Formats: sequence, C-alpha cells, structure tokens
Amino acid sequence: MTDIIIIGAGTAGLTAAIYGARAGLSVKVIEKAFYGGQIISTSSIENYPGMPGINGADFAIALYNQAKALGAQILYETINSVNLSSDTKAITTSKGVHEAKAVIIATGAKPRMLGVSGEEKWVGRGIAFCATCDAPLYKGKAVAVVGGGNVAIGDALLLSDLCRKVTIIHRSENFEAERMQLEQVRAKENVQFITNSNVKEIVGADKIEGLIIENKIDFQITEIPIDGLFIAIGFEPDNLLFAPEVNLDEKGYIIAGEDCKTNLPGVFVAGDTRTKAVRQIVTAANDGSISALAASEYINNSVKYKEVASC
Amino acid sequence: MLKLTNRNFEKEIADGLTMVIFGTNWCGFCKMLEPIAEEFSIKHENVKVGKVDADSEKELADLYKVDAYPTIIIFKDGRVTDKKMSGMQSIESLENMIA
Repeated sequence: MTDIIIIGAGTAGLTAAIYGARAGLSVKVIEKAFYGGQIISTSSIENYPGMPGINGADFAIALYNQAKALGAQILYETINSVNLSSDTKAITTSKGVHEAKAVIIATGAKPRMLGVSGEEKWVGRGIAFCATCDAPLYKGKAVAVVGGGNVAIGDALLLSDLCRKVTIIHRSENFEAERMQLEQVRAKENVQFITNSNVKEIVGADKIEGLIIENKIDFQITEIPIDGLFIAIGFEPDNLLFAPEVNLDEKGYIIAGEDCKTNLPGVFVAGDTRTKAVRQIVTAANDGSISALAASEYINNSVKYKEVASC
Repeated sequence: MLKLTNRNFEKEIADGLTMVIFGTNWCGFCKMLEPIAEEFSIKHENVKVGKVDADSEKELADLYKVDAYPTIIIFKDGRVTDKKMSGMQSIESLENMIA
C-alpha cells in the first residue's frame, strides 16, 4: 500500500509529492492528462517569489523533475471511482486499484466552456484555451478571444502580434483585466472590441468559419468570420467523482480550510480545487506543502493509535 | 536527445527503431515532453530518440505532414511507419507506439 496518493499533477499536486517524498513517505501521483496543470498555459510567470519571468512550461518541468528525483511515482491514469471513507483509501483507475493510507485531492480546475451547442467538437480543432501554446498556429489569420479578465486580454495581446485580426468579445463593457495591459491592447490597430455581447453560435462545417454574436442590450445579431476561437472565461472545478463522500460547496469546490483537511479523516485537498479566497500558483504550492505534512502527521498518528490499540 | 536535421536525418534513422519528436522552441508541451522522452530513452535503449526543430527544419516537418506540436513519429529501418501521435504524451503512450 502506498502512503500517499495525490490526485492531480499541477503545482499543488507536485508540491505535495515533493513534501511527501521528503518526509520519507511513498508517494504516487495520478494524473489523467499531463503534468503541470494550468500553469503550462502561462508564457511568463511574473508573481512567483524569487523567479520572475519564468516560463510556465519550464516551471512545470522543474516541479516534475524535482518530484521524480525524490522518488514520487507519476502515473497517467483515468480515475473511474474512489472509496475514501475507509482507513484504507481505494482509487480505481483504468489500469487497476491503488490503495493508500492518505489521499490528497489536487485536481485543480478545468477551463469553463461557453455553453454553446456543439462547441465540444471544435476543441483542439479551432477552439483553444491556451494562446501561449496555440497562437503560432493562427499566424496571419483572424481569431476571436472571449473573456474580459487578465487571461483574455493577455491572450489578445499575444495574438495581436501574430494574427491578422483579433476580436475580443466580452459580456460586459467593464473589463476585469489590469488597466495597463488593457490599454496596450486598445492601442493595437488589428484588435476590435465587441462588448455587452455573447457568442450564440459557432459556424462552420469542417473548420470554424465564424461566430454569431448577440448584443445583450439591443439583441442585435452579428456574424464575424474567424479561423480560431480562444476561450478565456475562467475555470471551474471538476470534483463530482468525490461527491457525496467528500463535501463540496455549491460551485463544486471541495470544502476545507487553510489546514487542507476535508470532512474525511486522511483525505486532504490542495490548490485551486479547494474553497479559498486567493487562487494563485504560490497558494497552490502553499496548499501542497500543508496537505502533505498534514497527511504525514495523519499517517504517523494512525500508526501510533494502532500500536496503542494492540498493546 | 539526438538533434536531427535535414543533413543527418536519413543516416540516423537508417537502422532499427527511431522515435522522432517534431517540436518547436516556443511550444510548451514540446519542452514538457522532453523529460518523459529522456525517461523513455533510458528505459528503451534499443530505440533511438531524436528531435527535429520544426521551425528550422521546415522541409522535414512538411515532408512528414506535421501540423501540430509536438508530433511523434516512429521510423523503422529508414522508413516511416503509421505510428504517429500529436500532443503531450505519457511514457506509457510512448511505449504503446513501439509495442
């Protein structure tokens, strides 16, 4: 049996793996897609203490290599079901059952979709969530960015250097993005803003050809031709697998305080998927360390309890 | 990892199994695949692992119809096989390509 199973190989999960392994515990990290989490879509991390400007992929690679070098096992498997209520936690994946004394859930969050009919079929074929990764594929083409926060405006800025035309579509006329970056985008000649509007439909047969957009105030419908669509309207948790054993809030985040303890003994939660006020790389790393040390303490106390009980 | 260019490509893939990774230096997933490919290379000494910079070696990338990064292609005794995948991969999925 493994000491700690960590679900998710983003910043929180890999930090937990580093702390767990350094505490002398056996650690397995189960990841369904690829290591790194959301951070890999950031070209330049400007707010992680001590390493300003580090590339997101480089940051992820460093975390991965550090966790591996310390002996953490990283498995790429899809989880089908979990049993977290017993002393021995069981995680059933596409490849078998993994048992652990403690579990840390660090599933992060997935990009929020528009909610437009048929949009799933365009993901990776015209719909993208990572301008840093996919912008060069749209060199000289027309693209749209949906969203009004820092990610959307940052994406638009990056795309405007490569693409023929960038259209920013936002549901409001007020942008949450930082003012300096917004002004930089507004100064670009090839960027067009469509505000107070929502995407109603994605048009295309074999590839995306355009968007149908509805103005929220006068309900006027317009169609714009595009080759690619970047969606940057935030993230949402993906924790239904753990309910109802683990308590979730109304938005689907796992309920826990700064101690990262869930309602179940031996089950901890770290990173963006936890109920918290600030979701940043540094707070994900913070949760990773706290949850791993709490899991270590839980395991040690369980062993002591069993020794006393058997005397 | 072996660097493949138009000059050495044919010679390097001539014998046995070669896993060729087409990527670019701006592609995050290409960078992230490197430690996994290194791990694969250590585990499978019989398979040569090389990378092609698809920006500077555009001819090679076009020849093998690379339109996404990273793209991984298995070559056997100098010939391209139908084992081709795009995107970030785990070590298990790389291993499945040579199974």
